[in-house]
Amino acid sequence: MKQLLLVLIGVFLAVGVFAQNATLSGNLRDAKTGEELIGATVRINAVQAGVSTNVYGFYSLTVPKGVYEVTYAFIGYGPITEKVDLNADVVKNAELSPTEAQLQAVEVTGKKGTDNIRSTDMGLVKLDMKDVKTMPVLFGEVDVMKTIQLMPGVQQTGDGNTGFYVRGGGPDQNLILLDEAPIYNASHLLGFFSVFNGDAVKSVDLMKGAIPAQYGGRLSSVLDVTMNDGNSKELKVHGGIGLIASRLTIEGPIVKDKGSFIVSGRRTYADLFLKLSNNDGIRSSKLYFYDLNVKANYRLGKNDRVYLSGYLGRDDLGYKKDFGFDWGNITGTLRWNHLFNNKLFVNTSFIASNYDYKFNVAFDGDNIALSSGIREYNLKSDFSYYANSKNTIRFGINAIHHSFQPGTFTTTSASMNGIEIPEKFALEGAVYVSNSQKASDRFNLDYGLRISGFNLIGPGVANTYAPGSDVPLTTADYSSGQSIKNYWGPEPRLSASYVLTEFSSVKAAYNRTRQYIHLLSNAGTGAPTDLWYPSTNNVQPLVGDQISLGYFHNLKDNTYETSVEVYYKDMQHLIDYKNGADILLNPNVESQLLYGKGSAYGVELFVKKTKGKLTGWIGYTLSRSDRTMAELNNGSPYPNRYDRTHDASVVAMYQLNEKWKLSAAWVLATGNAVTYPEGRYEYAGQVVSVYGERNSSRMPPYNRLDLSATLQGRKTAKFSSNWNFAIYNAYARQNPYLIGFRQNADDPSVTEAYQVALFSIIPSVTYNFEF
Amino acid sequence: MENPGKLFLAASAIAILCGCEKVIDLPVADSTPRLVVEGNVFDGPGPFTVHLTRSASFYNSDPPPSVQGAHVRISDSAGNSEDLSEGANGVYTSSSIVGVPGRTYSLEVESEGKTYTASNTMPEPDPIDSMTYEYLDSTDYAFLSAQDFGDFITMYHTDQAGIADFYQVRLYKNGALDKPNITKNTYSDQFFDGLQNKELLLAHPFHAGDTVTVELWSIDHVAYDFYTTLNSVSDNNGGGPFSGVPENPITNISNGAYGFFGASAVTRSTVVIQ
Repeated sequence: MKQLLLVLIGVFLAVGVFAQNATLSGNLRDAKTGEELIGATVRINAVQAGVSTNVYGFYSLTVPKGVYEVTYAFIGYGPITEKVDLNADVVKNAELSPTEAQLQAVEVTGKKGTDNIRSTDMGLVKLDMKDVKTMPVLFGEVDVMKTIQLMPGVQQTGDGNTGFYVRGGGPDQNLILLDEAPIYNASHLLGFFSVFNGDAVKSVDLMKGAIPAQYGGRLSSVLDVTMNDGNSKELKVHGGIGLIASRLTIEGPIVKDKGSFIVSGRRTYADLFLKLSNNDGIRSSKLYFYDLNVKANYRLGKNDRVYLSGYLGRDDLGYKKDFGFDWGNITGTLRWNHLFNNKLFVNTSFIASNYDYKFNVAFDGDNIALSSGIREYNLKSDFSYYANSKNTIRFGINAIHHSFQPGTFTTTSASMNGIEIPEKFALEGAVYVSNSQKASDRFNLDYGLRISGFNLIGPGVANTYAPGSDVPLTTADYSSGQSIKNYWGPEPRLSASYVLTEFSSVKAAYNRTRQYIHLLSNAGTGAPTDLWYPSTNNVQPLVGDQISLGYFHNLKDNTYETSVEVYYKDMQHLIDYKNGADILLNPNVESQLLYGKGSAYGVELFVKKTKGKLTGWIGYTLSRSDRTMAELNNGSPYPNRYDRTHDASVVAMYQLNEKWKLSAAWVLATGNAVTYPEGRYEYAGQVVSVYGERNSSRMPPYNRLDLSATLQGRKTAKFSSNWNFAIYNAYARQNPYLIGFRQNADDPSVTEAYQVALFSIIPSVTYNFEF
Repeated sequence: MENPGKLFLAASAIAILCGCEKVIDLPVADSTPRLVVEGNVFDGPGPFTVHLTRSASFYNSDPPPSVQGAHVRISDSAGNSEDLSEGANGVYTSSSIVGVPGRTYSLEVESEGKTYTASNTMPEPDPIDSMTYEYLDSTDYAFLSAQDFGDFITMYHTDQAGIADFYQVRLYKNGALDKPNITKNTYSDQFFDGLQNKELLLAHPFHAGDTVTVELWSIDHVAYDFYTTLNSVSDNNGGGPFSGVPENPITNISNGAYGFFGASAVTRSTVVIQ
């Protein structure tokens, strides 16, 4: 801590020495909607200085005094260049106009072509929401998570599933943020849809390689989703009507150019079709989800702005009165931007996030109910100090209060006992400092240190277990607020780029990440009943180290961006499960876990065409990911279930004419690593399979082609609309969702293998409008 | 109680999925055959049997090959022991050893130069308090399909408070064991410690005229682990995103053999469906 302060003070002193400088600062916005632009660039070529806007659209650039041509640019927007007299500090807010879709295809996009070459970003995926909205998707529901899965190094967990694995890390190792609030379960309906309503989303960044020091708490990646702020110029309504869901968004100014709001809702109506069934049971079933995104912001003055954003989403399944199951997330973020001066920006956020599920069954005349959840309150301050044109320093502090409700079982039956697994509490904290430094014209560095800690606190018990036993060996009781177990550690973050030519660079990054909370699930992924669990005296925090190297090369005047990245990742204290592990409502769940390590390595190739009528990308990953647990597979490493030797995707978007835009996506991947039987025997008249080495077999390769066409409808100043037609799985490939084994129904002595595919060809149509 | 996650998945799967299911030709590896032991000691005089077979290749459909010429010995913690006599098809039978709750029973098998051992402790028996039956169809339980409508047995038994108890229920229809569901009804007292448990046996519908015998086996933790892991692999759906990695059931037999040697206390009750 002391060293950190010294570093900070040193940096401030060093920065103060440069006197003959002036600072240009302000905000960049969309000229049409007033939305703040994230990641837009401000460049002064004369002094080779440039900076990107932060997540609130703010920028600050300090250069030697003079008069300069300043260029403001952002992808999908027309760039503007202005002469600015910087003999004194200047505050300048600029508005960029979006290029029309049909023009965009032929016009040079605003993004300065060499940003991807110069920046120290590695393993960064930025989604363009315009692309996301024209991509072919299952049932026509726009989904950022499914677009993310088409990127190298990111693997889907199952057919149509929004769960994802990044570079060999587990699904709980992705920090999924919606306006800074962590989303604990990002899926709807078995994972076929994500919680992100495309209409409410402004930007999506996935960090899978170099993770900046301001992010922490998960091992493998950060998926940072930012909600739209709302149109600050005029009241707008837009929405869409799809096969299974409809969306409606209302946004507008609170006070023009001072504040705005957005309310965006979505609801599925599969359950309305169920009502048409002539089966009484199906008619009285429930099957729906909804999302509500709300956000408002207001400028309190020149230097202050507040934001309030919230998300509420819920899934509800039910069958008559027999069975009900609902789950969902609620998040809220209150943010306060403050500008101390034109160089020092701070955002302070108070964040709350809750995930819970409730399960009810009416059985044999009685009701039984099960519920579980996790909640956090999070307070953080993030400072950006735009010291000079060479250094941008970020530092901050973060404190989280976690509470875990592992499970409560209640019943009306006299022949059953209720069970309540006591709630667990923990504090998590972090401080960090980092600097983005232009060391020379060619050499850019981003280095930082995050120090994080975790404290499991009472009330609660700490049990110890003898190896192999599932009853406590010793039990210690702790009173409210008493410390049960502490962990802490440094997390160095480092990335660098070296520019070789105007169009090529090499980059390298090293990260250490620590994760203090764990998702317990004997299933592979994403069931709503998965259990979040803290680190305890038995369960150690996950520690990950990743090194990556990359070569980036743009071709044909930046029309093509290409990259090759290699990575190696080492993961410690990973969790697996004992044979027959019982996780549900088990007060001794910690005795059911096994601990080990994992490694992942691979190479990712990426080619992206960013200009012209045809745009899109080709991604290919060659990788390996394995786990080693002393108690499993005789202690030998075994492939992770989602180890994919080969994973390829091709995405193409073609602007046919002013009316039609066509898209296609094709994926090919090695099948999941699975354990098949290698023999059989009989016990008590049942045929029992013999299993061999863990995950030593492979499912058949997965491949699928999706197509879509977007038709721009009539467009006036007041009204525009489009139709999106999509075909999921165009050549009706029956990709096995599972492969199982059973005794033949007619001749039980015969064992047969069978496969189940979820989706055949699925066409869909969606109508979108805006006025 | 079933895992709610599984119930949920089943319900959702029915609701939205196309379920394009087909039988496929899938070659699998062939593991080395191993000894399979199925042996039980019950409370009472016996005789008890130990059945020795061998595992075979996965797709073979022949009856399991029996193991002959083995030396099989059961002993108990009270100092009694007996060599079992070999009968047909790898079945070895006891004559003198007696099953007494609280005693630990040990098995020793010598076959083809290898020795296998196992032991298991017999819990106290738990009497069945009463049984009732009731006609149920899909208006009562939506998951019942037409061929499963019928009379279902509810059995009551009282659990001993404060200790972890484990049970298995086996059903006999007119004297014949309900084989496909034989090990499915295995449960612990997690939800009813110290209470009278009401166990609705949905595994099997019965009809007027059926004589139904219910056996309530008191088993120990080791046997519970075996049966539950056995059940989880016999329902295994091999690699779906929601299933765990299948593993061989937790056996109490040493030296790499499969199967289980159990000591269980059994109580019975019979009802004739009117």
